[in-house]
Formats: sequence, structure tokens, C-alpha cells
Amino acid sequence: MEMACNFLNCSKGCIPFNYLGLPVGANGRSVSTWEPLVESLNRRLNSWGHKYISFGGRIVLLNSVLNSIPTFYLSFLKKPVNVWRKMVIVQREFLWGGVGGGRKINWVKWDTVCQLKGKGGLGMKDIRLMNVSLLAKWRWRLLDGERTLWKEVVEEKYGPCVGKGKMLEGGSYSWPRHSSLWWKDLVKIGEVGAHGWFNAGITRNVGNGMKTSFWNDKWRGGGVLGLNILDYF
Amino acid sequence: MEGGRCFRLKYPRLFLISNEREAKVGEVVEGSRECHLFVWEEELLMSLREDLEGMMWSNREDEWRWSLEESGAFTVKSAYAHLMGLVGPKGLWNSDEERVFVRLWKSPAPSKVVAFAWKVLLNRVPTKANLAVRNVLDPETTNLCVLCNSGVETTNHLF
Repeated sequence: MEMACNFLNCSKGCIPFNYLGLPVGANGRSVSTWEPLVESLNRRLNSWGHKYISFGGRIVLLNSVLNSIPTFYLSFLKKPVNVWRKMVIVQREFLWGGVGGGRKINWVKWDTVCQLKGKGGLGMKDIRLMNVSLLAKWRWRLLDGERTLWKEVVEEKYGPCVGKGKMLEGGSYSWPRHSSLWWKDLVKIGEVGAHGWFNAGITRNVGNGMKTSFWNDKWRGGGVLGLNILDYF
Repeated sequence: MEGGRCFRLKYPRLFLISNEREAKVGEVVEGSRECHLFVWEEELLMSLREDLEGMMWSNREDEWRWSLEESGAFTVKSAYAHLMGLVGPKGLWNSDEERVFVRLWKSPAPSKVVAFAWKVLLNRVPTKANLAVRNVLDPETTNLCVLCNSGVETTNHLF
């Protein structure tokens, strides 16, 4: 190994390592993977120093900065509850107490703060739901007709994802033993409601009708699923 | 409105008596059936036909569609909004009140003023009454309004 390193003039690395800003091969469920992220939130807060920022200004800063820093991480890894709590605490203390605020009276519930502005909240993003919806994009990419290398790798490893009774069409799917944590998380995020909100949201758009099953696919009469939420609970 | 169900679940009886259970959409053609249907089954079949009316065929291949977005392509935004509707708190405000919030945030006032108005609307400003509820004030001190001394200092009293 040493010799190979010398010969290629490379240094020896180890997993996990950072590539394009994300830790590769890291365990998304361990807190240590997320430490740099929580760290960067705190760093950003400290960089604002002891300046006084008004409540209105803090709302803007939260919405535009503290809320968006995690987005890149969240679009790939499912974060543990523990990390979610930590991040919410950082955001919440900043909202009500300013930089270095510590514990102050939290006048409004965080759930309400996370509502849209038009619904009586502050338009903050709920990090958990943001995480789920960002990850759902990967499921969508698997369905989408484009051929890409990563999809081939995934299908090679876990079998075709599309087809009768497969995970992406609401079949009872159980992941194989050798599944990665990432794959398991991806399978699980679709199941917020009883039927799975993701599968409820997809329908077939029939063109020539040669690849859609008449009886088994949802292809006709698929309304907006928001209308019968009761079906999912 | 049918919220996305496949025909197998919508018409389980028709599926049972169908002899083309694996058929693709493009292959199912109207043809004379050998078997005799009961009247109620005929009705189901009629209803199925109604569902199929207005079907547009094209030469494109079938694709997936994300039903929450007009364009049919998945967006994180629509998924987030949908999830928020599923698990978030709901029914906090009626539509008139919601309109007030929308206009409030669009007003040209400085952000701190707007944010304060938001707190007032939610009754979350540090009035004596609110502070007393949160055990900030000593229970023995009076929570009468400092300006007029004639009523409890609540949000409605002050503004």
C-alpha cells in the first residue's frame, strides 16, 4: 500500500472523506457526520458578532441564511432526530434572543413559526419536512425516464425499482439485506401516511398506453391528492 | 373526485371477472364479451367507460406524473407544501384572517414593525397579562394597565 502510494504520488485517504462538500461513505445516522453542519450554523451566528439585529431583521436572516445552510446536506442524507433538535434550538434561540441569546421566552410555538406567512407563521422551513421532500426528489429521479449511471448502479444492486409490485409503485417492498442506509432511508421516507404520500402523488401520464397496466396503475381519474387526505390516515 | 386509485381498487368486481388482468392500457379494446353480466355489473362497466371518456392518445411513451404540480414534474416545493398540509397544524385561522396576514407581510413598513404587528395579531406581546400567564411577573403585583390604571393590561386594552 505504502509503495503504491509512493509510486502514484498520492496520499492515503480513508472513508468517510469529503467530496463536493458532502461526506462520502459516512453514516448519516451518526451525530458526528452532522457536526460540521451544526458547527457551520454556529459559526455563521458568531460571525454576526454582537451586532444588534431587530426582530424583523432576524426573521429575514433566518429565512435566507440559517434555513438554507443545511439544504445541501439535507438533499442527500436523512438527518437523525437528535440533530434536528439541535438545529431547531440554534434557530429558535436566534429568533427570540438574537446572537448569543440563550434561553428567552419563545412567544410563538415553533410549529406555528414554520407555517407560511399567509397562514399566520413566519415562513420558516421545517427542517424535517424539508429533508423528506428533498430526499423524495431522488425517488422521483428513479422514476423519471432519463438514463443515468447512478440509476443503473442502484438497479443493479437492488433490482428494478419500477414494475409491478415494486417499491416505487406502492408494492410491499422489503429491502435486501445488503441495502445501504441511504437506500433504506429513501424507501422509508415515502411512508408518512398509511398508503405513502409519495406513491399517492404519482400517476401515469398515458401517451400510447403501451407501458401502463390497465388495472394496476393509476392512470385515469387521479385527482389532486390533497383532496382526500382522510384516505391516508 | 377520485383521488388517484387504480381501476383494480376502484372496480374490484370488474377486475375479478376480467380476463385480461395483465393488459396494458393500449391493448384494452372494446369488444364483445362472451360472458353475461348482471345488471349491477353492467352499471359498473358503464361507470368505467365514463371514466375513460375524453381520453387523449398520443404517440409519446407513457411517463410518470407528479400530480401536485401542473407541469407533472416533481418539485421539492410542492412536496414540502403537501407534507406541511398533512402533518402541520391546520385550521388556525379563517380565510379572512389569512388575508390579513398576507397583506401584513406585503406592507411597506419596516420589517421590525411588521414583525411586531404579527406578534400583536397572535396576542404574543409582553403585556402584563401575558407576562403573568408565563409567571414572569410576581403574582402579587397588579397587572393593571400602566397608562390608565383602570383595566387589565391585555393586548386588546393597549391597542
